[in-house]
Amino acid sequence: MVKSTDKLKLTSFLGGLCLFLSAIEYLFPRPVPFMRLGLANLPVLFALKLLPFPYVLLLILLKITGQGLISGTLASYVFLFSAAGSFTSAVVMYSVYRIPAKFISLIGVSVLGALTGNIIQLILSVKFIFGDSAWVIASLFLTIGTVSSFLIGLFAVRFMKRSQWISSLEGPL
Amino acid sequence: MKNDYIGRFFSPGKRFFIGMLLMLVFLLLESLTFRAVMTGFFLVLAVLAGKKILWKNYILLIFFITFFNLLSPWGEVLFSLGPLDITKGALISGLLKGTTFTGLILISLTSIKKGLIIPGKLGGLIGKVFFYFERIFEQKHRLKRHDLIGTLDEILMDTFYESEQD
Repeated sequence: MVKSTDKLKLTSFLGGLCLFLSAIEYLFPRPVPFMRLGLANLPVLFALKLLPFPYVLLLILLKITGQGLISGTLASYVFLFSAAGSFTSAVVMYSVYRIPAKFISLIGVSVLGALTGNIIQLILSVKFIFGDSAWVIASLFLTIGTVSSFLIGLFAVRFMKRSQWISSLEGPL
Repeated sequence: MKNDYIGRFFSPGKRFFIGMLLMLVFLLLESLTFRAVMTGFFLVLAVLAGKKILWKNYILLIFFITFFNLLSPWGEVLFSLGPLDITKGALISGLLKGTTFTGLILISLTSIKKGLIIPGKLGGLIGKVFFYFERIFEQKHRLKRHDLIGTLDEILMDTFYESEQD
């Protein structure tokens, strides 16, 4: 765990990394406008290992506010949906991450977090935008989310095993 | 980057404030005609603000929202498309939701500029997030597809500890 004086710096840095990955994701074509790969969740997976819970929540706040400022959707439904999905997902991921790794890996944590966030966004969009009929696309939406979160979880596991940067943060800065 | 004509007259703070007022007016009246006209107005503002307008996305968004609402018919049947009854209530409700959603995105695009200063501690942290974002972004050419993990790790190592010395 990182020293308390450096936690804020690391949180802001991971926030910057979230924005960078959002920018990279922007380069990929989307089959449907509101579907995303969720690359920006990678730093959140790092944060589960490096930061205590309040800082993980702060990271989520910085991530969604930064994304809202860049994309200009800070004052729209998109921001509220993103906030609801991201915060719920973070709570679930943090809770599940506490379970010993022999029962659930970081890939499982990533998939569960994405599923939770997507389900919350789906419920909100059914309630406020699309109506009950939107459940027909639920399976497609959840499948894409599950596959991409699996890949992001896999990348996170490999990165954290090899990364000198992550190792340097586990010792004194 | 296209010209931001609105930015020539309004600071990011004033722009945000006016945007929020317009949004309030937009949400106050629940008439489809009013919301559609306002959405058109917001579209013009977004173009004047130099924002990239993703026409296809907005049209698809309104289409899908309306389509999914039509699948739950209610009110007078206007006509039928094969097995689907197009009902007045569902059509108006779908179009209203679609234009509202699109209008809010467009006014948000216009009113929020990167230079917008958020006051307080959160504002300071957001500033730091953008500082790190720019530092990492400057190094993106170092990312190599054949060694994504290794190159990303080097970038993070360098930018994190370089920034510490600033």
